[in-house]
Amino acid sequence: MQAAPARLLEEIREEARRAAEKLPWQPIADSPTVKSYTDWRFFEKLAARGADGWRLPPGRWDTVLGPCGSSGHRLVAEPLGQLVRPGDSRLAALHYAALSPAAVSYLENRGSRVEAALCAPTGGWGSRHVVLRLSGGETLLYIPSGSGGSTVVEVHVEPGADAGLAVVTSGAPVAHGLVVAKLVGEGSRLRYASIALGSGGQTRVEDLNLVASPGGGVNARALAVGAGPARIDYIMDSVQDAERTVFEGAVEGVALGESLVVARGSARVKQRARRSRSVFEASVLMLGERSRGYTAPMMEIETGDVEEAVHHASQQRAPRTALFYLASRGLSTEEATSLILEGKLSALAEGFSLVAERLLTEARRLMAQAAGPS
Amino acid sequence: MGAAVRMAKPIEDLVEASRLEELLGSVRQYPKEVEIRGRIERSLVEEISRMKKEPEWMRRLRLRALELFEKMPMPRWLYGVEEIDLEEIAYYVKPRAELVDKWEELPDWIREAYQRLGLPEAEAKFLSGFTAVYDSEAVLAKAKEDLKRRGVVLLPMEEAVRRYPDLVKQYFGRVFSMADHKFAALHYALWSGGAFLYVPPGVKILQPIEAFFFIGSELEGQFEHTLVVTGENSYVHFIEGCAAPVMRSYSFHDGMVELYAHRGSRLHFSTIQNWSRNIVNFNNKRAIAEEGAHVEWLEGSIGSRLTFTYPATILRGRGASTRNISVTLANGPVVKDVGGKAIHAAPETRSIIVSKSISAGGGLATYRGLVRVQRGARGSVSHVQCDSLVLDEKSRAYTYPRNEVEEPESEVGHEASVGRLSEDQLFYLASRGLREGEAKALIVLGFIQEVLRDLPLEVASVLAKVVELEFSELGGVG
Repeated sequence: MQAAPARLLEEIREEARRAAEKLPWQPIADSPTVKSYTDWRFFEKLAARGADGWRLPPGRWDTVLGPCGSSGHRLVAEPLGQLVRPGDSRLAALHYAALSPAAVSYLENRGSRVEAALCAPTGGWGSRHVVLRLSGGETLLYIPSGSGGSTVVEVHVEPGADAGLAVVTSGAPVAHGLVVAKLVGEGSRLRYASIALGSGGQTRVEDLNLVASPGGGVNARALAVGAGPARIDYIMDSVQDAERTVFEGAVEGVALGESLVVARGSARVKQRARRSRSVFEASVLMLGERSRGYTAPMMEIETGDVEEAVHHASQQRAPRTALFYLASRGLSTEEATSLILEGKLSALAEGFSLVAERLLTEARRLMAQAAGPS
Repeated sequence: MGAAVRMAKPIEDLVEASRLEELLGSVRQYPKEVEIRGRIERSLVEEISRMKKEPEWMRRLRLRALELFEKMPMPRWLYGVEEIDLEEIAYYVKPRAELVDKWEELPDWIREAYQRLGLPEAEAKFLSGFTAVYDSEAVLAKAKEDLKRRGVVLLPMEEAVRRYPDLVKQYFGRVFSMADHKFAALHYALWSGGAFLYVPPGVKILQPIEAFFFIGSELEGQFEHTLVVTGENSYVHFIEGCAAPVMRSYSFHDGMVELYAHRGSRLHFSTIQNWSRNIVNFNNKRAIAEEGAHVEWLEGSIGSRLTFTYPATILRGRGASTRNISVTLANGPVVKDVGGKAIHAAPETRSIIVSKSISAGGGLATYRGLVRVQRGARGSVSHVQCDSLVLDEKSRAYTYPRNEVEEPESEVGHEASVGRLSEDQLFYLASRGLREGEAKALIVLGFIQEVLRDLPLEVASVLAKVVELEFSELGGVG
C-alpha cells in the first residue's frame, strides 16, 4: 500500500518529531570505538531555527532542485525514507522534522548526462531531500551548503544498471550534515565520487552503500578537504548482504590550516554475502602546521567464505620527496599544495566521462574558495 | 595455562590430550579459610583491607575506588557483560594455605594442581622467579638468590605494600587510572593477589620471571594486581600465565597489570591466557615508557568465554618505543575482544601493533585498537597490522582501529585483512594424508608464523603447540 505523497511526508514528519525528542546525537556514547568525531554542538546550535529562505546555486544547471528550482519541485509517489529513516539518528530525525514538501525532489537518469544542483538555504537549518533513481548514465549533484542544516540523498540503482554518480558539497559556516544512502540492485554497478570541502564549521558526511542483491557492486571514492578551522567528519559505510557483491571504497582527506579531517567507515560483509569482496582505504594527508587527521577503517566480516576483505589507513605529512621536487622547480608551498590537490581531484574524476569536466570545474572553484586563506 | 607449563611439559603429553580441558581438570572441593560474598559496599572493602593489614593510604585508595565504582555507569558497549551478576560472586577467596617459598611446603591439593600443569619443573629449569596466586592470595613466592643479591624486589603484591610502602605508593595506580572505567574502579576497590617486581637500574635479568594465576572455584572473582618497574637501562621479561578448571557456571577475572619502564630500560611482558571456557576475562593492562625505553607486550589469548583486553603503552619520553603483539583464538561459542593501544606523547617515539586472530566454530574475534599521536610528538612513527582468519561460515571477525594524529610531522599506517580457509589448501593437505584438524592447525600456524618468528623461542614454541592442540580438538569435532 502506498500512501498519498503529501500524507506520507506528514506521517514521516510526525514520526521524526517524536524520534527527535528521544534520540541522542549518538546512540552509543561510552564505547571506545564510537567516538564523537563530529562536534554535535554545532548542529545543536543550528537546529534551533528553521530555514529563512532559499537561493539559487551559482552557475547554469540542467536542473535545479528544491524550493528555488526553476523546474519546480515534484513530490512524487516515490516513497521517502526507504533508505534513511527518521529513527536512524537524531540528525535524520531533525532532517525529516524540518522537511517541507517543496524541499523534496525526485530525479531520474535513464542513461544520459545530468548535471543538477540544489537550492541553498539562506539562514537557519535547511532540510533538503532528493530521491534519485539511476538506470544508467552519469549524474552530477552539486549541493551548496548555504547556511547549513541537513541534506539527504536516497539513491536507487536499478538492477543491471551501470551508472555514475558524483556529488560535490561545500561546508557551511556552522554545520552541514549530508547523508547519501545508495541501494544497488542485482547485477548493477555504481561508480561514485564525492567531494566535500569546508573552510569552517562542522561538516559531517555519511555515505552509506547497501549492496543487498547478488552481483551488485559499488566503487566509491571520496575526497574531503578541510581548510582554516574546519572540521570534516567523513564516514563511508558499506553493507554487503548478497552473494558475489563488491565494495571498493576510499576516503582521502586533506587537512590544511588548523582543520580536523576524519576519514572513517565500516565495511560489513554479512553471512549471506559469500564470495564477496570488500576493500576500504582511509587516509589523511596533513598539510597544515596545526592540522589534525584521524582515520578509523572498520570491518565486520561475518562469513568465512569471503573472497577478499582488506582495509588500509594512513596519516602522513605530504611526501617529502614530492614537496622537495616541487620546491626545487621554484614552486611556493601554496602552489605545491594546489598541485597536490589537483592531482587528487584528477584521480577522483577518473572513471567519469560525461560529467568529469563539470565535476572538476565545480571542485576547483570551491577549492580555491576553501584553500585560499590557509 | 602459563608459558612455563608448556615449556616443561613434554609436547607428546599435550598432543595426546583430546581436549585442553583435560589438562586443566574439573572443579573440585578444597578447604577455604575466608570467602566473602554479598553487596559491594564500604564495610566489605574495609574488611579486605583489614585482613591484609594494609597501610592507611591503601585503605583510602580502595574506598575512593569504591565511590567511583558506585558512580560510574555500566559500560554499554561490552558484549555479554550483562551476564555477570556481581551480587552472586565471591569477591575474596583465601584458600586454606599459607604463603610459602618451597613447592613441597604447599598443601597436596594445590601442589597436585600445579604439578599437573608442569609448573615446578618449569620454574626450576627456566625461571628466575615465580609467584603463584590461587584464588585471591599468593600461595607460593620464589626468587633465586641471585635476584635478591642484585637488589631485585619480587614479592606478592600485598607483601610489597607492607614492606616497601614508599616504593609501591610511587607507582601503584599511577599508570592505569581507577577512573578509566567501572571495572577498573571495581578492581582497585577489591584487588587482591598479584606480584610486584622492581628491577634496579642497570640490572638485566636474563631468565624470565613468571606469575601464575589460578581460579579454583566457580562464581568467584579474581582481582589480582601486577606492578613491574624497571630502573634505568635494566631488562626483564615477565611471563603471566592463567588457568582455571572446567566449571558448570562461570567465574570473573578483573585483573590489572601496570608497567613502568624508566629511561633506557627494556620491559617485555608476555601473557599466555588459557582460562577454561567458563571465565569472563577482563584484563586491564597499561605501561608508561620513559625516554629511550622499550615496552613489549605479547598477548596470547587462547581460552576463556569472554575476553576484553587492550594492552596500552604511553610513550612519554623521547625515543621510547613499543611493540604490541596479540594472537587471538576464538574457537567455539566465545567472544574475544582484544587489541592494542599506543599513545605517542613525546617526539621520535615508535610503535608497532600486530594482531593475528583466528575465528572458528562460531567464535567472534574482535580487534579494537588506538594509535594516538599527540601534538608535539614530532617524528613519531606507528604501524598497525591486523590480520584475521575466519575458518567457517558461522564465525566472525571484526576490526575496529582508530588512528588519531594531532602532529603533522608524524606517520601512522594501518593495514588489515580478513582471509578464509581455502578449499584448495585443505584439498592439497588432505591429499597428503592430513586429517582436517591437522590441516587446519597447519594453516593456522602458517598464518601466525610471522608473529611467532619474532618471539622468544620458548614462548613461540609453546604458543604454537597450544594452537595445534586447539585445532586437533576442532578436527575431532569436525
